[in-house]
Amino acid sequence: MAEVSLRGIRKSYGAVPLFDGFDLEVRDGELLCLLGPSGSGKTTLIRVIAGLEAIAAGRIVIGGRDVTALEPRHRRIGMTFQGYALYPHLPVRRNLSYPLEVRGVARAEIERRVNATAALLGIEGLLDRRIRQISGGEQQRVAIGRAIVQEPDLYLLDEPISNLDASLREAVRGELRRLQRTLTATMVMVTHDQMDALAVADRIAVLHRGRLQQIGTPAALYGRPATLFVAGFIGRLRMNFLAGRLGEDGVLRGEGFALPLPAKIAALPGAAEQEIVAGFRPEVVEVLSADAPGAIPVRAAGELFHGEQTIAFFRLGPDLVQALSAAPIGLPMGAAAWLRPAPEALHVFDRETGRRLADNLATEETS
Amino acid sequence: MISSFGAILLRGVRAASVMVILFLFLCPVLWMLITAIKPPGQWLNSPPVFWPSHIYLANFREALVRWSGFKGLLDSLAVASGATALSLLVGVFAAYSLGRFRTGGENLSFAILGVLFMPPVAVAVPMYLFWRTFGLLDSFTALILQYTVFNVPFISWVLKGFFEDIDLSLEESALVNGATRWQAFLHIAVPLALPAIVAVALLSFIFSWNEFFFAVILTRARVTTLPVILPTLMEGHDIRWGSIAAIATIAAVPVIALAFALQRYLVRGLSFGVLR
Repeated sequence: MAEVSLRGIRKSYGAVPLFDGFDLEVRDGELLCLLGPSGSGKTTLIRVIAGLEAIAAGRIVIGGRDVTALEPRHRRIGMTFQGYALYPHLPVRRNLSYPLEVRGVARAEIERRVNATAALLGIEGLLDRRIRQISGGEQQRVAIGRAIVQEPDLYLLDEPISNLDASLREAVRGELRRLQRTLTATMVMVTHDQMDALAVADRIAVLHRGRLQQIGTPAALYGRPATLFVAGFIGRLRMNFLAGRLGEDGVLRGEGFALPLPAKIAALPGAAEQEIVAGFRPEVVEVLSADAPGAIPVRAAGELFHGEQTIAFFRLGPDLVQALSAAPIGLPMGAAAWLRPAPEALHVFDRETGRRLADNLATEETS
Repeated sequence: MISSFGAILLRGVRAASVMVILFLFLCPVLWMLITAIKPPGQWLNSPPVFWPSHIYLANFREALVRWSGFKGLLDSLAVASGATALSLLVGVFAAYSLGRFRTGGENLSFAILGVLFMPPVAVAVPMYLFWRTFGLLDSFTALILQYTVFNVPFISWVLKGFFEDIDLSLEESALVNGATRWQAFLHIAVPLALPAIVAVALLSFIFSWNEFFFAVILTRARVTTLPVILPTLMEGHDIRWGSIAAIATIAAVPVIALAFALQRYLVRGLSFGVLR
């Protein structure tokens, strides 16, 4: 158990800077997800914490110990790799015991810890098997077991769930969460899948091109995204964006629509006569068959039936807008319809900087 | 019915072709073994004697004692084992270094490979002068070092590919799990490349065992490997074909035995493919 502090991390690949003074704090006993698309630097970041990547500048402190200059083996971390990185020439038992053997732990102690870890993960029956002979889900447990057996200060998990079958993922999310609670461990988990992050994390740090976009609870990121990038990245369905100019009258005018914004938003400093982007989630849109105040005219562009819900697509000028509906809507293609986003669920961003407008920015450190 | 008849026919044809091919390859070996146990006077007859009138093992005694085949066997073993051990020591580290750390940039590995393409004849005279300068002609040292020079490029080039195919994250996980760089190499990379290491070791051994050209040039009396002894038996009027066959048999046995002993590794290692 330990808190982690990264200060002023600098790293570049050749002439291309990735981190330019990156800071991050991980709290004691929390599960922090590093979330971002590929190339965002999330995997590089945990490799930096592990000591597998050199940094040009910065300080890494784990549990009060400055580990910046330490080799990976002295950092007291347990790490799992994306492909699990289990040793194919050793049976499961030796995979689990290797970290202890190489550190010269006494044989009886190794035996005790390996058995305890195997029992915790329910893999006692696999101990004498070869890595090739066990399934992907079992390999993932062994990989986590190899981290647990070391009783590390900090766990680093690189895409622990991504390689698993869809049917397993939900169960593994829950298990990972329970495990982290049982161990009261500090964990940093890398994922590109925001559903994984939303489901298991205490806090999520969203990375984009080596920059921290926002860090906060899943609810904070979903409810008050700090940037356009976060708004577009978080949520099972992509947020709809309407770009336009906000008039003095509080109406956002863009290509093919005029949407009156709530007075509170229109009155935000710097909002009037600005190029802004209004966002609303497909979850908070009403589909109307006639014009109404606060609705925008669209044309039906098909729908996808998902059982308990239906995703309907609408054409707005050149863009597609999505709306989530509990029941199929059944509009013919091209039919006229009106969409009314819930006014209190509108997010407004500066088009230039992509940053959320005004007061909501102060919620970056919500927890 | 027809299909099962076809299957039987196909199997028969396949077995027959395998036997023909095996016969072609094994015929010289068979003839060598038979000649080695033929008494004098049955070696070069027309029509040939396919089976000796009695088994004549004196050929082996003659080969080992009179033609110093015993010394040749020991010298060959010493040179081939020494050269193989030294080649592995240098080659395995070189291969790992080239594969993992881009040692010498993009070009060093190609330069090393270039040594393989060079015809040995081209360096024969310079190497002779070189060893003479150091007073190492007719010594184990010279022959072992000379063969190492030829083996290392081959070993490092083949093993480099093997080490590159080992997922880097395996060694990285070892580093995080408490291993030093050296331990990650010894505990993870070497065991995973072992089939390939055994295969190149065997090929190096066979090369050093069979090598004739440099052995003739660099050695005289103190060091006499088996390939050098063989032609000395063909001098003079009375060519002892029985002894020649006996000494050839003695030369063949250790390599074959070694290959059989290492069979388990060779199947995977000689495919030179990806480890799975």
